[in-house]
Amino acid sequence: MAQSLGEDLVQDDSSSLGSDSELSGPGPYRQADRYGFIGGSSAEPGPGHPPADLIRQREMKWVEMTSHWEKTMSRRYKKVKMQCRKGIPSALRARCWPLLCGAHVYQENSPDTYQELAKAPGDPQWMETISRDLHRQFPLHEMFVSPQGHGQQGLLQVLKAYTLYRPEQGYCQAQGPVAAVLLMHLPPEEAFWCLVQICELYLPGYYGPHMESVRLDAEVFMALLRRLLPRVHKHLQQVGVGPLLYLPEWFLCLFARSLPFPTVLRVWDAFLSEGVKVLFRVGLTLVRLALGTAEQRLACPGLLETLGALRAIPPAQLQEEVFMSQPPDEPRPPRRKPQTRGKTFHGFLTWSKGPPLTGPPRSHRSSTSFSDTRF
Amino acid sequence: MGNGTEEDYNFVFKVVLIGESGVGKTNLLSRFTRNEFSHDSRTTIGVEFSTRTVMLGTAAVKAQIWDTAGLERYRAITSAYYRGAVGALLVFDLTKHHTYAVVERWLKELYDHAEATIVVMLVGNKSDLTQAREVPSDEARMFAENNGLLFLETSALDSTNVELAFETVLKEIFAKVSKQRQNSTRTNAITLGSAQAGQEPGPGEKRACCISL
Repeated sequence: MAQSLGEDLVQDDSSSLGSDSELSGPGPYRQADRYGFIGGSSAEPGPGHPPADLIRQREMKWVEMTSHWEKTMSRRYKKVKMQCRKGIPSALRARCWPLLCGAHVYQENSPDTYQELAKAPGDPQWMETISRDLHRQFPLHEMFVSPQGHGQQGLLQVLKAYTLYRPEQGYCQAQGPVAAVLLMHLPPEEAFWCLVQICELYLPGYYGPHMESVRLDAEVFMALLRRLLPRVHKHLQQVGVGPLLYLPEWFLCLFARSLPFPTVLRVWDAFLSEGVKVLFRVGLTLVRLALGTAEQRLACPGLLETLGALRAIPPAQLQEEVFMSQPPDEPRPPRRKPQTRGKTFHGFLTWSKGPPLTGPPRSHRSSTSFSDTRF
Repeated sequence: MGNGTEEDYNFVFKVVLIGESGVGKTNLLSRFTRNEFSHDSRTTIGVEFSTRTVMLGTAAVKAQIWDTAGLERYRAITSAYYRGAVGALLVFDLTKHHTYAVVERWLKELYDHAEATIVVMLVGNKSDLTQAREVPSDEARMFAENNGLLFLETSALDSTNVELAFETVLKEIFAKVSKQRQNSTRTNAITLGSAQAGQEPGPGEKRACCISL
């Protein structure tokens, strides 16, 4: 479904690069688009979006699934996953994201925690750093324009609450865009628990004082590149572009600052249902779109050109339906006899064929606590 | 040398911008390379890049400037950014003393990861905020002198000294390079940055001569 839709919609390149406020252009006097970005171009559901009756149909499915969520997740997770890949209808994201990541369980189990944290005074050191960043998150989003607006104030509350909740972790600037996107959809308390889940369950070790998991995943990413896009991998090595030059912002912000906003939401839908592997898939797809052909690599003889290409993928290719239905990338065939023990890769963003890459629906690092709290 | 493309240059110098979060590194960079300033410039996560080619005498020098994230925890992933840098602007906010108090730690970080011959300038940014100054010029200048650093006060907001700061650093690097070349019988040009690992320049691209001090 999504794929056939996507194919018809290639011409539409009007998608808002709203997630990147600096690309959205100035426009304090202009209207906000349908995602809240002032001067953004996604004002109307154009041809890039599913037709209304399809959205309605999906909404009904989600209403049905969320009405008995625990049962749905334990018995029909596959269906949830597929629906997430198709995109959660925007009217239902506020309901679905906390359910998908398990934030609702935490919130129910500790009903007073957030309010207490929100009221408590923050560590002055973190408060200063957080305050300095408040106006630098999506400054062209209508929610975050004013220092006294509920966007910036909510951001302050949620980020402060996290530093009090996990004083040993403190604040990482990349949590800002993540919390901001959550706050665009959720009240502060729900946003807080979703942030907790993202930081602790989905991406443990990403935002902490040593960011060790980012470094580790950068290595994993390189290994995947070597296997799946060997020519691109070789090119990146030749020009000296290591993964730490482009990957931290992608992964730490869950692509919130690197993709058009409608696509960001689709990636998040899939991420919250399937975990970190979605980040790898999206990252690999971006690398392939930027440097996949010999001509593209030839046009990037050096480090800066290569990094530039990674940041300058034509918006039409990043448009949500087009991007989310990217064709699979086949690994190179084995040189000798076929391997039977290795996993088969079925592409990064197209999952309809073949077995899933990983089994249980969980974050790749968390184990028992994940299933305990979520499902 | 060049093949008539929009940019011909004789040298590529890699310069890093370092310093605490919020001191104005990103705006110094955007002021220098695009003549832009934004109060709402987004936080730098990881690293950003920009280039500008300047003429030093008859030589065209392409400054490849790396703007790094300032928050302490990012140091775990930013140490890789120093490799091959021949210049650095160590920026502090002259209206916030604590951003100056940690300059020494930044210097150590720099010398731990970059080459010892790197040209370093201490930059006190936000000089337009005269009322809010917390770091006296003399104190910072003294520190710079004692540590063999260049020193300037800048304002990315009103452009004061931004050109001068980058150009001074580039000139100093250029002088070092020229001296090194004179001392060397053979051109001691080592590619870095764009051609670091790629010893095979693309067709028509053999125009840059990057220097390692």
